[in-house]
Amino acid sequence: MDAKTLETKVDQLNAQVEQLIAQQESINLFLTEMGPVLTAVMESASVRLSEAENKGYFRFAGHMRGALDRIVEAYSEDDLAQFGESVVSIVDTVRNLTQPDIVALANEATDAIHNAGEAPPVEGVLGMYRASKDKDVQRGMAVMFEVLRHVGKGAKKMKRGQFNLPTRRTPVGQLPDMRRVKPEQRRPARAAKPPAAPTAGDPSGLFDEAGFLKDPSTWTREIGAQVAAKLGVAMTDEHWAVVEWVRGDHAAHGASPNVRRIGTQSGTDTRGVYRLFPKAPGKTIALIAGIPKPGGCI
Amino acid sequence: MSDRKMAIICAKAGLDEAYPALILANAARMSDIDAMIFFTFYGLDVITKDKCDHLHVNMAGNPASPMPTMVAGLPGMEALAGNMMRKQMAELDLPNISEMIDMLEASGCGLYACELAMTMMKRTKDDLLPQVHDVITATDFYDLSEGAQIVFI
Repeated sequence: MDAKTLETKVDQLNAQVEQLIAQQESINLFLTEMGPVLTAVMESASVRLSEAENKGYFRFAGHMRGALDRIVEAYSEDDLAQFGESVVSIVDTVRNLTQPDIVALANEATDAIHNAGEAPPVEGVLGMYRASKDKDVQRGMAVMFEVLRHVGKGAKKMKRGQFNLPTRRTPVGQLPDMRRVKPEQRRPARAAKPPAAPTAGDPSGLFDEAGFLKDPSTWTREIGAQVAAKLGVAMTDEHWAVVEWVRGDHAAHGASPNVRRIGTQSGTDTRGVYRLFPKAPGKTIALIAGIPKPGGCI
Repeated sequence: MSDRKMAIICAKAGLDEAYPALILANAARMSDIDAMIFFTFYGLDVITKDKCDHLHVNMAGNPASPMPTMVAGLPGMEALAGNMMRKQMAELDLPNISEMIDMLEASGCGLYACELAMTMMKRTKDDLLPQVHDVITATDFYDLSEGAQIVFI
């Protein structure tokens, strides 16, 4: 080995040792910082654990494990599968039974049973007659008979084996498509496209496909006159007065006025508007004035 | 578009029955479609001077009504519902009946009354709004609506 190689090797070793030292230093630093934090964490953890022990959590968990053991041993997989399928109806029944008013009713009934020792005996037929004159007793009897009726119906169904718990074996997404008209056979919906004005397709690019001026600020009187000529409207001063008013109204309110607004507010009444612009005045005036088509049906 | 014609027969006087007829005719005129309305039976109320701005709306027996039928049948409910609906329309700045009839006449829509209904209800042309053009019979209506789409409301 010559001196040069030896030098390079020593340099490399140096660098590695420095790196190791730096790592060791940072680890030391980390430990010194974390030391107090870790101690605090350990302290609070042990406090909580001893609290839990005192409350009996661990003994409880031990017993629960025993109970789970017994359940797992007692029931087979099939049972559990069946339980899984009917769990919805079980939960539903529990939910129905525990509705607050039902619980309250059950409470009332149990009150009576609690005080069963104090109820006087009903004496014979006359006693029954007298008891049944109480309105609450009458209502209670009606409820009991309803319950009997439902139980009877259920017994009938049970006898005929008609109790079918609804179980869905096929997820809804995989059920076959039973529609009579398949989607590809349906006629495509026609989009509502109004007939285009004569200015549609104008090469100047100022008008959109429906023939309206794209940007109202680009309007000039010449453009208005051209559009009017294409639409076959002979413009007079009266016509221009309406057009100017409509442009002003659009600029002031941001929305094109409809025929009713023009008829009541522009100074020309509805009769006059229809006389000046006989065919579809709302649309025609908007086309000539370079504003968007007015909306609404009044 | 201008060879299309609409002939609307308005035979009822509820607010929810008269307005569709008037609005359809107005929209037709705004789209350059010839239109005419033939008012018959209770539709005459829509063009009678002293009744046209006091139309009611009946909620009873109407499955879409927000009021149950038993309540809607109580006395005064019809008028109350009519008032409420007219107030709502005023708030939305929708025109009332006489203003709509005026707009229709100004736009060139034909407004006609049924002669038979006029005799039955004992009304004369003076009882009707001035914008109504004429009192005609059903046969005249068929002549006038030649080539038109007839809509019965």
